[in-house]
Amino acid sequence: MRKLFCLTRVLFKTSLGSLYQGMAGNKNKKKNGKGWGGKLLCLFLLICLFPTFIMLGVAAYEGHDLLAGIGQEGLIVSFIGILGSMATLIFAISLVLSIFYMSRDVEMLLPMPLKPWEIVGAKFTVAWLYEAATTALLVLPPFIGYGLAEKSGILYGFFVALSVLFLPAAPLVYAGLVLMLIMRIFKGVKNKDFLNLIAMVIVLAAAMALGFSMQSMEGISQAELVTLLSAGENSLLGLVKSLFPHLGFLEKALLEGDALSMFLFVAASFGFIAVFLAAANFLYFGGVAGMNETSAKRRKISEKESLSINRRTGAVASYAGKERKILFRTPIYFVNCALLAFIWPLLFLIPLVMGLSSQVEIGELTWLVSEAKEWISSMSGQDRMSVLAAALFAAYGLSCMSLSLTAASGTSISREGTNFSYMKYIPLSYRDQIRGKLLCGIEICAVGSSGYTGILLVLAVAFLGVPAAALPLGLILSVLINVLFNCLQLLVDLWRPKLVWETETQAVKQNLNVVVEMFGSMGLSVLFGFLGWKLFGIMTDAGLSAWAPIGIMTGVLALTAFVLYRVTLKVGERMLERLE
Amino acid sequence: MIELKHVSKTYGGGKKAVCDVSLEIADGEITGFIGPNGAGKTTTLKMITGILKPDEDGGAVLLNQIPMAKNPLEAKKQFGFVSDNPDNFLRLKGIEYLNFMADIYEVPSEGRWERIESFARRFEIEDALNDKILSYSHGMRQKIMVMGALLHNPSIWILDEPLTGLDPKSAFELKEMMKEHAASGRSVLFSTHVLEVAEKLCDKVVIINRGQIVYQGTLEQLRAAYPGIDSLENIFLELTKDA
Repeated sequence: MRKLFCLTRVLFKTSLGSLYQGMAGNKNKKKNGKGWGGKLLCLFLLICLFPTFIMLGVAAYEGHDLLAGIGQEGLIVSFIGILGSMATLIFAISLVLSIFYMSRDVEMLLPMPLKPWEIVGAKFTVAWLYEAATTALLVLPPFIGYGLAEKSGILYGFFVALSVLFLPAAPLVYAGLVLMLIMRIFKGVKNKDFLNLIAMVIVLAAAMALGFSMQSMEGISQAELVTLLSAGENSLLGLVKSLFPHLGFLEKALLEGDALSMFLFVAASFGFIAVFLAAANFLYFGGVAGMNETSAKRRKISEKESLSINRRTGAVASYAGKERKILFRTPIYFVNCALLAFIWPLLFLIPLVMGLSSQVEIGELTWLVSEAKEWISSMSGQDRMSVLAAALFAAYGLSCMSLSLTAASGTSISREGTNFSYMKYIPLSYRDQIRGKLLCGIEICAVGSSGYTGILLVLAVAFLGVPAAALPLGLILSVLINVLFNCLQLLVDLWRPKLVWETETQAVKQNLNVVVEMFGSMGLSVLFGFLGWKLFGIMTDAGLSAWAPIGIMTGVLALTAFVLYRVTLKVGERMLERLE
Repeated sequence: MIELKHVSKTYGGGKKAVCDVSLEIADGEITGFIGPNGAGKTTTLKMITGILKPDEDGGAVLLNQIPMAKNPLEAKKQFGFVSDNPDNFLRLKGIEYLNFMADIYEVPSEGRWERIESFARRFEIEDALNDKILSYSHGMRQKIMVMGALLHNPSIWILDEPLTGLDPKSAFELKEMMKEHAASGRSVLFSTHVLEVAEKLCDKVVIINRGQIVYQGTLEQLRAAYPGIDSLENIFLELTKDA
């Protein structure tokens, strides 16, 4: 047991400690009075997340009032438990993969005289603490909202604290067992990157499944919700309940203040962990050994091949190419920084189309589209310009949304890690290196923003009769926002790059910069969108042509993008120079 | 030629890693940079290569008379640098890494392949160039890093522990290449912990201890300065006994 505690302490400091150190600020910088960055970052994130916390709390509070009328308010607790467990399960897959299999410490730990359960136990504890901290953000506000509605006392507060701590244990065990089995079964696969990519895709598929099920719950009636939560053994929620049978004890403990049920919930969580550690003793070493292996053909390059390979490319283009190759070939980078740029329509449009198709018949939809086309085509003057403005606004919104989902530029410095020193000794100016990183980010984002926006605008012009000018103008807007967002993201990463990490996951997933960039991008999108909409209203009300606000907003965006690009090059150059 | 004039480096927290170092690595010579762990070897090499900035107290780093502080890009073109960690760019193929370095160092298309092929043949990794560096052994990674650093035919070679992990044949080849490079009138600076290597390969040695240069000159001069001590190892231990 001593070895387990000792190892847990060390792993916590090396694998997740950097995240908390990043929040607290650098000790050396503190001495110079510059350690406020981390605290400011935390404050900014709390401010950004505060509305979500309030929303979750209010939802639980009002849900309680709503369901209290039929005596089913306890279902709120049940739903929080299920939500927390499902969210943990989805996030745990990539976390377990990262901490158990991809971490650099694995090769150091394997030769040590440690039993598999000791290594896995220490890693599990680290992952558990991390999951407890992140799950708390999701379940604590609704638990508090419910507690306030119930006017609960100290015992409820104590039980909630225990719930937050023990809720992630079982989902983490499931994620760990599934991954250990996969790694053990596919032990012979040489290209482990491919295996990792598969695991990442499972995570995404699970997230999509959750998204679809949430989508299907939209517009559900109160009675249907009660049935779904209480009886539906065949539903997804029913499945989750059967996966986590101990949630029943949690519900009883929180609803009735029953200490024995709480004890049983905690004991059951430890039971899950015990089963996991017993399985790990048989499965872990077999799967983790040789994790760094990759496929290699060892085939000589022919004279003919060399002619095409060894053609000289410009330094910035070559730099961007290097960035792109590393990003696309590192599964964790690809999934977290680029993949969403390509598949976001699947995540958002498919549920939307599914939702629509469940409410409207295909024939009815075709009729609606042709009616809309006829109506828009019959428009003239200011009305038609309003349609153009609405299409541009939609193009703007779609571009902003897809851009805030990618972090190719936003993690480009952090991804360098300790290899960052090469940026200092190669004879390529920092300005050109920033250009190379931006170019890679902008290229990837262009597919997700300009590509899909272009397709949707073509469809809107062809099938809805939206003015054709929407296409070039929409594309210009998406390119401008693309440049703007990428510059903004890169500046944030230059400001506080996370260069010390043990696993690639830490560089992109446990990097607070990504969250700051996401909120910053969203804030900027809302600000420009709001300004544009207001300007459009004011100018058209004043009898001016709609071209005026469109022109002004495009000009403002172009100017902002240009200025931010110049600032990124100039300030970024100085920031890179200072980094050591 | 490498020149360091009164260069110091203080890390955050006030620790002085290198203190008022002045050095001259002449053309046509192989210079070994030796010292105990934590003596300041890597910090000094990082300052020479521009990875670290020296303290702002009047010190200067010059490469072929080009000041690193004033003209960093030109200064960086003068050398090829191999760091002590070869685990870089692991998801690039060997050939992709070499082409990336060649593009950055503006190596023309003509003759690029011939140069790559010649290095690959000497280091016996022709078959591995089309595979990802991730699939390479430590020694192979070291070889590809050395190749990337030397591809643009720099006049100054700066190598941090270059022989670590190399098999005997490749270590021999690299040492031969270092000798050839110095014989053609250009300079080589490399750090090592292996005194036998320094003894057999170097024209001059620089010994650093606790961030200060305690000796620079030829091995003969060093032996002459310590007539009572029979081996280089014992002289080194004497010079660094308070480390």
